[in-house]
Amino acid sequence: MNIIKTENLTKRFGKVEALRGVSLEVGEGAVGLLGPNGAGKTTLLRILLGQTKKTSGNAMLLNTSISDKNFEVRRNFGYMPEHECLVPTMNAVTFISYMAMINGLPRADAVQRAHESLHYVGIGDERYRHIKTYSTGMRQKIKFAQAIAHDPTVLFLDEPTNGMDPEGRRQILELIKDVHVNHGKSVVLSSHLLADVEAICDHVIVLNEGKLVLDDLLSALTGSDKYTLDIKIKGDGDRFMSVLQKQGFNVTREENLFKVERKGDTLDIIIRLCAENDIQLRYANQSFRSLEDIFIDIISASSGERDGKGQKISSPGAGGGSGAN
Amino acid sequence: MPIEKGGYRAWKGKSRGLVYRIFSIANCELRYRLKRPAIIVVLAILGLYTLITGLVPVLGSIFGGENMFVYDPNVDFNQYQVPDVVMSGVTISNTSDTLKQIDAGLELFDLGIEPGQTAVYQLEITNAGTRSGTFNVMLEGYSGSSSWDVRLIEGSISFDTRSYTQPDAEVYENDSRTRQFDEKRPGSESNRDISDNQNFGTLTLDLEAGSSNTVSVKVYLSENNIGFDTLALSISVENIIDWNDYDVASPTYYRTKLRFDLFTNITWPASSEKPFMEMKLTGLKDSSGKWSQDRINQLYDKPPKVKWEDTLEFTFSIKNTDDETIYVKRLLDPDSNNYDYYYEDDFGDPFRSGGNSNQEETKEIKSGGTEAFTVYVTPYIGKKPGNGYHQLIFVASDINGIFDEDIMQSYQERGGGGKNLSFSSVPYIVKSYHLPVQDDTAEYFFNTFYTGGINIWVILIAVLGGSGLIADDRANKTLPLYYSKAIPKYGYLAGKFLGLASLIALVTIVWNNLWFTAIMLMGGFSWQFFTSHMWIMGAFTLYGLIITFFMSALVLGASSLAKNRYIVGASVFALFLISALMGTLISVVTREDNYLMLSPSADFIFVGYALFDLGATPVDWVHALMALAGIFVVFIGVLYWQLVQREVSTE
Repeated sequence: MNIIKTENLTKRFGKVEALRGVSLEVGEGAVGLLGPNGAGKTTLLRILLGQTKKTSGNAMLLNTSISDKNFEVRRNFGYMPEHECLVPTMNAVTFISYMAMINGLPRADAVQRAHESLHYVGIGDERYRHIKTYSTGMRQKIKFAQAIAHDPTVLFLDEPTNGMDPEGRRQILELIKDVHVNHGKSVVLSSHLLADVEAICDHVIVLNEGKLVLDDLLSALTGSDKYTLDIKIKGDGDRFMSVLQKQGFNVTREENLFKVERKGDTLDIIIRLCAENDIQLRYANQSFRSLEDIFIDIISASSGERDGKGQKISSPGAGGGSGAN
Repeated sequence: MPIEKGGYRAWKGKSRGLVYRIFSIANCELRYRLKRPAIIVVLAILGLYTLITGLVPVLGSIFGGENMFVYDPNVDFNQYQVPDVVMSGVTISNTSDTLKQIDAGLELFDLGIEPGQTAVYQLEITNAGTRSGTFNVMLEGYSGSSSWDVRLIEGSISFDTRSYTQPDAEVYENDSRTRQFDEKRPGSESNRDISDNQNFGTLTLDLEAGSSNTVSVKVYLSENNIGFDTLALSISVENIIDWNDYDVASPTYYRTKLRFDLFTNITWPASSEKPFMEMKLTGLKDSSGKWSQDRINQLYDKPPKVKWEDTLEFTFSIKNTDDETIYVKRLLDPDSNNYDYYYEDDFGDPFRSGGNSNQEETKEIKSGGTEAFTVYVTPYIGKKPGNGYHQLIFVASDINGIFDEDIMQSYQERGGGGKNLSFSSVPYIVKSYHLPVQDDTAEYFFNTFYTGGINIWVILIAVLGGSGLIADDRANKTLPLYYSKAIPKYGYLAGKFLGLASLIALVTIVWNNLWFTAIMLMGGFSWQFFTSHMWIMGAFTLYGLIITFFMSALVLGASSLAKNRYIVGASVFALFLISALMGTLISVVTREDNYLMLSPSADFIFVGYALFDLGATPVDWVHALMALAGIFVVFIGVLYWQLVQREVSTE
């Protein structure tokens, strides 16, 4: 079942086009929603959750058209906003049970779930303190606890590690991974921290300037065949570059460092080519492409494309909407 | 260090529906707000306030003091089988009139005497109740105006003591079985005038059930007494009853009153020396036909006896004798008085306008010009006993459309500013129940709990509890979180509204009804009295609902417009204050009461007066209610726009 499905979704704020014809399908699993600031990630989530009206296009959650009339579908979603959203003068138990009751939990269940959720996120001992007395990390955990208190099937997490110290960040990521892996919750993780997405998600969606620029499995982007060879030689670099390109390799050069996109037995071929062309091979190392590399490539490519001077995104499946399932 | 986990557990329960979710918001908000220190303090003060105000009548009842809730026309005292007094008849010595069955209904009899006549009024007083009782018999005199030379040259009252069983009973002032009118009143230079209300004496009678006594009053009216206003005597009989014996509310006695006018006329002051308008009565008709000019001319000397509910047609001509153009209009019964303590003045307007004498019309008369006016007058007293007199006044002004008291006074000083047609047309007898009262019960409760229309407590609670309801959500950016839950936007709004309304209703409906019940049950009141006043609980509830809905919409609407609750609270207070000032100011300047509707506080007073049946208000309560409804709709519109239509902002 699709968690999210959009068709040509557009949102304008006056003259600013925050979403420009986004069409995508997201299945169950953990999906990373990536993009630079202003890419439209939060706008997309807010449209899906009914906080903002779409300008045109269609959007569905769990195959139900988003509309204030279809509010019941939101019962299946837990939302952890990026911004502050807590009531400072309430204690954590009251706040979370309140939020759970709004999602339809009976009062007794809501209170019990509030306690359980707060224990689960690790602040059970401090659950009766006023929220205004909590640290940033603790507030993030409360936001996470209120998102899971009503036991949703899908979590929308908007920058969940925002402003957290490394230990807090690790804890939140661990919690997210736990609910996803061990309890079967689907996760849509919106973040500009690529490492967070890499740690949690198996599917990546990249938005840039309101447009969908990538929709693919993370494994397809960063798999074992997606690495480069870093080569250093002694000799005529220009001639070596020419030889590699004649062989059809995708090569970039940074002074004496040649990054060669790997294709099967690339290293053997390069060793042979060096021997044949009397080029001394001084250094060879295989380098995997990180999500950050891919992200930067895609963003710069899509920005360049808009400017009319870039290259086409070469990543497999880009814009394909194949889904993660 | 690995994260400490309590373990995630799936929830297998059944989710509740939308109504539950809305009530959850209301419930949580109410519980949350009730814990706020400011609200606790206000509620505590309110509790103390109502405790004190509530305890006054309770303590008064316990310690035998006079109770506040005394006078209530809705109580049928006959059901209590008290000693009851019946004035079974009046005999006038020098006429053939003998009046019977006075209590049978509101029959009006001509009891008047004319100057030079003597009359002896004899009234038979019977204890028609089922128990023996004690009665006070009191004679009082009245005059319609203290400015006239009103004197009774001779006259006396005497109490027939044949059945008088309590010779040592207390008697007011100079006790006398026979009392002369010409005794000098304390503080009065004139020794015979009764130019204002005077109590001539009171005797106490004990009457067994079914027994009777007779009271006589002898009156002589000097021939010199002509051309003045109503002169009246009344005989009142009070039941002296300890109501604690009768399991009813706390009136200590009630009074059966017989009032009869001795003399009445239509006054027609002579023209002044330098009138600026000359006014003549040119015609007068009653049901018998047109009066002759001679008869009209005799008005000053021989006042007409006007039949009750007969319609008189007066025709006037008014000539402008001034140098300037004048403007003339008829005032509507401006000095109609309700002399007595009758519980309802139901005269209505005895004047029917006719021809060109519409009271709203201001007629322009140029210098030297003459205009005719016709006025129909039908004295009547409606369904219930009443008393009073009416004046017909034409006023003139040389400033178009402005007829204020100062100008009228000014013209009157110039000798012609107004012409009074003053009459209490028919001597009549009225039986009424009269109870010594402070406030009507409903009025007491209205004033106690809604002083100033909308109680300050209601505004305080509404502001303290409601100003942050949406403003805080906007400031804390909680609004997007609410909207991400399984509840529509209007559900959020309904929940917040319900939460605030519940808080306000605590003060306006629950609290007041609880106190009303407590006072009724603990204040020494009878069950009958309680049940006969249960409608006040309905009035509390309905009035409370109106206030609750209005205040909820107002405060929530204001709360949706700002992020700072203090600004919201100050704005709401400012709205009430400024609107009250504006309404009062504009209505004073324009002399138009309808501008009072600008103030919600005033509107609440007007609506409250209608709901608590407290009489007329300057602005019709329906209009006031519509004004409140209009403001309510505007703020509901604000809420809809702010919360449903507008984009959610996290800025």
